[in-house]
Amino acid sequence: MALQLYKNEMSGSFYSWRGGAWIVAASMIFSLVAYLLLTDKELSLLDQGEMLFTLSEIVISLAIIMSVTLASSAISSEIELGTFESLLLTPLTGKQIAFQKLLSIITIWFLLYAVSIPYLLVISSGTNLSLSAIFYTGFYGTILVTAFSSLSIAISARVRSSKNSIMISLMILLILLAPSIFFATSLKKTSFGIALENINPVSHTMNSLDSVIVDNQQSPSEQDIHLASVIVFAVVCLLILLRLSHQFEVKPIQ
Amino acid sequence: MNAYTIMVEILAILLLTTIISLSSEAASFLMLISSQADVSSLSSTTTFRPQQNSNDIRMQVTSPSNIHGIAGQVIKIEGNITNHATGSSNNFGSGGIAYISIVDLVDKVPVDLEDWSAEKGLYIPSIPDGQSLPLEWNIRLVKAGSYSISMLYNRESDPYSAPIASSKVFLEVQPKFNLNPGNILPVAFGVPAALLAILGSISYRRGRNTGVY
Repeated sequence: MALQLYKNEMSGSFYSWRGGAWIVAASMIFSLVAYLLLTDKELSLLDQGEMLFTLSEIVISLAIIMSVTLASSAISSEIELGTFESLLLTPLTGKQIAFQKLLSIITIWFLLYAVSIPYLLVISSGTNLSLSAIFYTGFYGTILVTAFSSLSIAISARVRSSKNSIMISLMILLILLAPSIFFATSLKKTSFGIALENINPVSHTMNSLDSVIVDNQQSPSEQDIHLASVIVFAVVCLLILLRLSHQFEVKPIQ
Repeated sequence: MNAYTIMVEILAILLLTTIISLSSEAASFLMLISSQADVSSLSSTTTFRPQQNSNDIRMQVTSPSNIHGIAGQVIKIEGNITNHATGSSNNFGSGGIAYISIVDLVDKVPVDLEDWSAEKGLYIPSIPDGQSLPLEWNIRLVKAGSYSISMLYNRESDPYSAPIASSKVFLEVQPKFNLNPGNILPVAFGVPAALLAILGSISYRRGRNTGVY
């Protein structure tokens, strides 16, 4: 039974071409962004570091949205389809079920990440930023996808309704993405903005990428606060999933 | 702990953060009012802090006065600050903040340094009499155009005095078009096409095996 659920999840994701259509859609988004950045006369005036940072932000944001959507229906969809009970009857423990589902989502992130690498390479062509951009995008993407997927699976198991768990998970994600995407620079500099950025792992990720790619501070020692914050967030999310996975059970939706 | 509890806890943390930041804003506002009150009461009575003449401090740019660059390039603006005072008992009066100012000569507006320089200001606690301190700013040339750069110094001991300014550095930034440096077209069209081909072939093979095709 080792990794059987993981294999089933992966083959389920790619059973028909429609299952993999999202990765084609994601590659088209990357193509559109990269093409516009490099061929539009106005946008091409941007510094290459800025272009690379924009693409890295898009890769990570897309990865988190994708992983949250997949993970927040991971358990609830099984409950809704009536297959969770039979899953609990297998020798798999709750922890194994949760972590094999998590692993399948992380694998899908790796596919998305692999697709994004050619774009990162083309945009960073001629600079010394290629390796750093690929490394930090991959690292932060993996940590954030793991964290958000863990949290979303936990929510999915607790709420037991795909509709509600997707809504709750997306709300949490939007709250955490808001400072990076919607806040103006002046708002970020207020005490509230600074406090929010200090406790927000997504802001730490975006600020670290900005520091590495735009400000050329590529050494991990220069990013230690950002790295530590994101890792702590991931550990907390994994602990929440670990705790809740011991309590997996089938109950009627109230 | 259910998902709603998690949501409530997150909202509670956000609420707490808002309250803390609002209270810190209020506290800093009150401190500002009280410090202004202190300053006005001091000026109406007596001044007991030793003042240095503002002419004692000089700022000098050591970089060339005309610089040409290309957008995206990082240049270094160097200079020094010298305290020409002699014989004062302490150097408290010489402390202050050194910073740069960039003015867009075409649009006739000051430039927001947000993307131009990571180091905007430098706090100098004191400058010993007769001594110079080197100053250096790394500036990323973000946008093409004509600019003037000045180094400025605000003395801490006299917040109402005009800043001490260096001579100007004139900067000409040429545009750099990053038009297709690594040839995006093969990647932009090739990656989605390759993915479609891979997924199509997997689907076709599976269809052949199951008798769909």
